[in-house]
Amino acid sequence: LFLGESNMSEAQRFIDETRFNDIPNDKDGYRIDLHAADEGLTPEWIIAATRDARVAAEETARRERLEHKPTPTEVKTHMIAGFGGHLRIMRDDMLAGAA
Amino acid sequence: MSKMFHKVMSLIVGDDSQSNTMRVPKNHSTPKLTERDLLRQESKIGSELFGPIPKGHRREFFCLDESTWIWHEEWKDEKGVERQSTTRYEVHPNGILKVTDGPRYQFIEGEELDNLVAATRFYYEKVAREIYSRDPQTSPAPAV
Repeated sequence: LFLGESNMSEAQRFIDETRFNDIPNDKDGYRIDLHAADEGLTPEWIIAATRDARVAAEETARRERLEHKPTPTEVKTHMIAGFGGHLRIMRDDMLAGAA
Repeated sequence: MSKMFHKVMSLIVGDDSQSNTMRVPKNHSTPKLTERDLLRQESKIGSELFGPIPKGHRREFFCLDESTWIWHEEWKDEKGVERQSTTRYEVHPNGILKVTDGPRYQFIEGEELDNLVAATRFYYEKVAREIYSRDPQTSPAPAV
Protein backbone atom coordinates (compact mmCIF):
# COMPACT_ATOMS: atom_id res chain seq x y z
CA LEU A 1 0.00 0.00 0.00
CA PHE A 2 1.17 3.50 -0.72
CA LEU A 3 0.87 5.76 2.29
CA GLY A 4 0.84 9.48 1.82
CA GLU A 5 2.89 11.56 4.21
CA SER A 6 -0.12 13.49 5.44
CA ASN A 7 -1.88 10.30 6.55
CA MET A 8 1.18 9.07 8.37
CA SER A 9 1.49 12.41 10.13
CA GLU A 10 -2.03 11.92 11.34
CA ALA A 11 -1.18 8.47 12.69
CA GLN A 12 1.96 9.80 14.34
CA ARG A 13 0.00 12.63 15.91
CA PHE A 14 -2.50 10.16 17.29
CA ILE A 15 0.24 8.02 18.76
CA ASP A 16 2.00 11.04 20.21
CA GLU A 17 -1.18 11.99 22.02
CA THR A 18 -1.43 8.61 23.67
CA ARG A 19 0.76 7.27 26.38
CA PHE A 20 3.86 5.44 25.25
CA ASN A 21 2.67 2.14 26.68
CA ASP A 22 -0.48 2.31 24.64
CA ILE A 23 1.39 1.91 21.41
CA PRO A 24 0.56 -1.60 20.27
CA ASN A 25 2.67 -4.27 18.76
CA ASP A 26 2.32 -5.01 15.12
CA LYS A 27 1.31 -8.36 13.68
CA ASP A 28 4.79 -9.78 14.33
CA GLY A 29 4.95 -8.57 17.90
CA TYR A 30 7.23 -5.60 17.30
CA ARG A 31 6.33 -2.24 18.70
CA ILE A 32 5.06 -0.23 15.80
CA ASP A 33 6.54 3.00 14.63
CA LEU A 34 6.41 4.89 11.44
CA HIS A 35 8.60 2.31 9.75
CA ALA A 36 5.51 0.14 9.99
CA ALA A 37 4.38 2.05 6.96
CA ASP A 38 6.98 0.17 4.98
CA GLU A 39 5.48 -3.08 6.24
CA GLY A 40 2.11 -2.27 4.81
CA LEU A 41 0.33 -1.09 7.97
CA THR A 42 -2.05 1.71 7.18
CA PRO A 43 -2.56 4.75 9.35
CA GLU A 44 -6.09 3.53 9.94
CA TRP A 45 -4.76 0.22 11.27
CA ILE A 46 -2.30 2.02 13.52
CA ILE A 47 -5.01 4.31 14.89
CA ALA A 48 -7.45 1.46 15.46
CA ALA A 49 -4.80 -0.75 17.06
CA THR A 50 -3.67 2.09 19.31
CA ARG A 51 -7.23 2.69 20.41
CA ASP A 52 -7.70 -1.00 21.14
CA ALA A 53 -4.46 -1.09 23.10
CA ARG A 54 -5.50 1.91 25.14
CA VAL A 55 -8.89 0.40 25.98
CA ALA A 56 -7.20 -2.86 26.96
CA ALA A 57 -4.63 -1.02 29.10
CA GLU A 58 -7.37 0.91 30.91
CA GLU A 59 -9.29 -2.27 31.56
CA THR A 60 -6.16 -3.97 32.90
CA ALA A 61 -5.45 -0.99 35.16
CA ARG A 62 -9.04 -1.00 36.42
CA ARG A 63 -8.85 -4.71 37.21
CA GLU A 64 -5.51 -4.30 38.95
CA ARG A 65 -6.95 -1.50 41.07
CA LEU A 66 -9.84 -3.73 42.11
CA GLU A 67 -7.57 -6.66 42.87
CA HIS A 68 -4.90 -4.55 44.55
CA LYS A 69 -4.43 -5.26 48.24
CA PRO A 70 -3.44 -1.99 49.86
CA THR A 71 -0.11 -1.86 51.64
CA PRO A 72 0.01 -0.79 55.31
CA THR A 73 1.33 2.59 54.19
CA GLU A 74 -1.58 3.04 51.79
CA VAL A 75 -4.07 2.08 54.52
CA LYS A 76 -2.59 4.63 56.92
CA THR A 77 -2.48 7.27 54.21
CA HIS A 78 -6.11 6.57 53.43
CA MET A 79 -7.01 7.00 57.10
CA ILE A 80 -5.30 10.38 57.32
CA ALA A 81 -6.97 11.45 54.08
CA GLY A 82 -10.31 10.36 55.54
CA PHE A 83 -9.85 12.40 58.72
CA GLY A 84 -8.94 15.46 56.66
CA GLY A 85 -11.85 14.95 54.31
CA HIS A 86 -14.38 14.67 57.13
CA LEU A 87 -12.96 17.68 58.91
CA ARG A 88 -13.42 19.62 55.67
CA ILE A 89 -17.08 18.54 55.53
CA MET A 90 -17.71 19.49 59.16
CA ARG A 91 -16.04 22.86 58.64
CA ASP A 92 -18.06 23.58 55.53
CA ASP A 93 -21.27 22.54 57.28
CA MET A 94 -20.62 24.88 60.17
CA LEU A 95 -19.68 27.78 57.89
CA ALA A 96 -22.80 27.17 55.83
CA GLY A 97 -24.90 27.12 58.99
CA ALA A 98 -23.34 30.35 60.21
CA ALA A 99 -23.85 32.14 56.90
CA MET B 1 -1.54 32.01 70.66
CA SER B 2 -3.68 34.11 68.35
CA LYS B 3 -0.74 36.16 67.13
CA MET B 4 1.28 33.08 66.44
CA PHE B 5 -1.59 31.41 64.62
CA HIS B 6 -1.98 34.48 62.44
CA LYS B 7 1.72 34.35 61.66
CA VAL B 8 1.61 30.68 60.75
CA MET B 9 -1.42 31.17 58.55
CA SER B 10 0.22 34.13 56.87
CA LEU B 11 3.19 31.96 56.03
CA ILE B 12 1.01 29.23 54.62
CA VAL B 13 -2.00 30.83 52.98
CA GLY B 14 -1.05 34.49 52.81
CA ASP B 15 -2.03 37.52 54.78
CA ASP B 16 -5.48 38.97 54.20
CA SER B 17 -5.29 41.55 56.98
CA GLN B 18 -4.71 44.34 54.44
CA SER B 19 -7.55 43.28 52.20
CA ASN B 20 -10.49 45.68 52.27
CA THR B 21 -12.79 43.05 50.82
CA MET B 22 -12.27 40.81 53.85
CA ARG B 23 -12.72 43.56 56.42
CA VAL B 24 -15.85 43.40 58.53
CA PRO B 25 -17.52 46.76 59.13
CA LYS B 26 -17.11 48.01 62.68
CA ASN B 27 -20.84 48.38 63.17
CA HIS B 28 -21.50 44.79 62.14
CA SER B 29 -23.43 43.30 65.01
CA THR B 30 -22.86 39.56 64.40
CA PRO B 31 -19.32 38.82 63.29
CA LYS B 32 -19.38 36.15 60.63
CA LEU B 33 -17.60 32.94 61.46
CA THR B 34 -14.73 32.33 59.09
CA GLU B 35 -12.72 29.27 58.20
CA ARG B 36 -9.75 30.91 59.84
CA ASP B 37 -11.70 31.17 63.11
CA LEU B 38 -12.39 27.46 62.96
CA LEU B 39 -8.78 26.65 62.12
CA ARG B 40 -7.68 28.72 65.10
CA GLN B 41 -9.97 26.75 67.40
CA GLU B 42 -8.86 23.45 65.90
CA SER B 43 -5.22 24.39 66.24
CA LYS B 44 -5.65 25.11 69.93
CA ILE B 45 -6.85 21.54 70.38
CA GLY B 46 -4.10 20.25 68.09
CA SER B 47 -1.37 21.97 70.06
CA GLU B 48 -2.45 20.24 73.25
CA LEU B 49 -2.60 16.72 71.84
CA PHE B 50 0.98 15.82 72.51
CA GLY B 51 1.18 16.54 76.19
CA PRO B 52 2.78 19.48 77.91
CA ILE B 53 4.49 22.00 75.69
CA PRO B 54 8.07 22.58 76.88
CA LYS B 55 8.63 25.88 78.61
CA GLY B 56 9.35 28.62 76.14
CA HIS B 57 7.89 26.64 73.26
CA ARG B 58 4.77 27.48 71.27
CA ARG B 59 3.10 24.94 69.09
CA GLU B 60 0.46 24.73 66.38
CA PHE B 61 -0.89 21.55 64.88
CA PHE B 62 -3.87 21.62 62.58
CA CYS B 63 -5.48 20.25 59.47
CA LEU B 64 -5.18 23.02 56.88
CA ASP B 65 -7.31 21.25 54.29
CA GLU B 66 -8.27 17.70 53.36
CA SER B 67 -4.78 16.89 52.17
CA THR B 68 -2.51 19.07 54.29
CA TRP B 69 -1.56 18.96 57.97
CA ILE B 70 0.67 21.58 59.56
CA TRP B 71 2.99 21.34 62.54
CA HIS B 72 4.62 24.59 63.64
CA GLU B 73 6.81 25.14 66.64
CA GLU B 74 8.59 28.20 67.98
CA TRP B 75 11.13 28.36 70.78
CA LYS B 76 14.19 30.14 72.01
CA ASP B 77 17.47 28.29 71.94
CA GLU B 78 20.06 28.28 74.72
CA LYS B 79 21.41 31.61 73.47
CA GLY B 80 17.97 33.16 73.55
CA VAL B 81 17.68 33.25 69.77
CA GLU B 82 14.16 32.70 68.46
CA ARG B 83 13.83 29.56 66.39
CA GLN B 84 10.93 28.20 64.45
CA SER B 85 10.15 25.14 62.46
CA THR B 86 7.24 24.38 60.16
CA THR B 87 6.49 20.91 58.90
CA ARG B 88 3.85 20.25 56.28
CA TYR B 89 2.44 16.77 55.81
CA GLU B 90 0.87 16.32 52.39
CA VAL B 91 -1.47 13.44 51.61
CA HIS B 92 -0.56 11.81 48.31
CA PRO B 93 -2.10 8.68 46.79
CA ASN B 94 1.04 6.70 47.57
CA GLY B 95 1.87 8.07 51.00
CA ILE B 96 2.42 11.06 53.23
CA LEU B 97 5.02 13.50 52.01
CA LYS B 98 6.77 15.41 54.78
CA VAL B 99 7.99 18.85 53.76
CA THR B 100 10.32 20.56 56.20
CA ASP B 101 12.25 23.82 56.17
CA GLY B 102 14.88 23.84 53.53
CA PRO B 103 12.78 22.62 51.85
CA ARG B 104 13.34 18.92 52.29
CA TYR B 105 10.91 16.30 51.06
CA GLN B 106 10.50 12.78 52.36
CA PHE B 107 7.75 10.17 52.38
CA ILE B 108 7.35 9.06 55.98
CA GLU B 109 7.25 5.43 57.04
CA GLY B 110 7.29 3.27 60.15
CA GLU B 111 6.96 4.81 63.58
CA GLU B 112 6.73 8.36 62.27
CA LEU B 113 3.78 7.45 60.07
CA ASP B 114 2.15 5.56 62.96
CA ASN B 115 2.56 8.60 65.19
CA LEU B 116 1.01 10.86 62.59
CA VAL B 117 -1.95 8.50 62.17
CA ALA B 118 -2.47 8.54 65.93
CA ALA B 119 -2.17 12.32 66.10
CA THR B 120 -4.63 12.91 63.27
CA ARG B 121 -7.06 10.41 64.77
CA PHE B 122 -6.99 12.12 68.20
CA TYR B 123 -7.29 15.47 66.52
CA TYR B 124 -10.24 14.34 64.42
CA GLU B 125 -12.09 12.83 67.38
CA LYS B 126 -11.49 15.75 69.71
CA VAL B 127 -12.24 18.43 67.14
CA ALA B 128 -15.40 16.65 65.97
CA ARG B 129 -16.72 16.51 69.53
CA GLU B 130 -15.57 19.83 70.92
CA ILE B 131 -15.93 22.18 67.97
CA TYR B 132 -18.46 20.61 65.63
CA SER B 133 -20.53 18.79 68.24
CA ARG B 134 -20.38 15.59 66.22
CA ASP B 135 -19.84 12.10 67.46
CA PRO B 136 -16.81 10.84 65.54
CA GLN B 137 -18.04 7.28 66.01
CA THR B 138 -21.35 7.90 64.29
CA SER B 139 -20.49 10.67 61.86
CA PRO B 140 -19.07 9.40 58.59
CA ALA B 141 -15.71 8.04 59.61
CA PRO B 142 -12.82 7.12 57.37
CA ALA B 143 -12.71 3.47 56.36
CA VAL B 144 -9.95 1.56 58.10
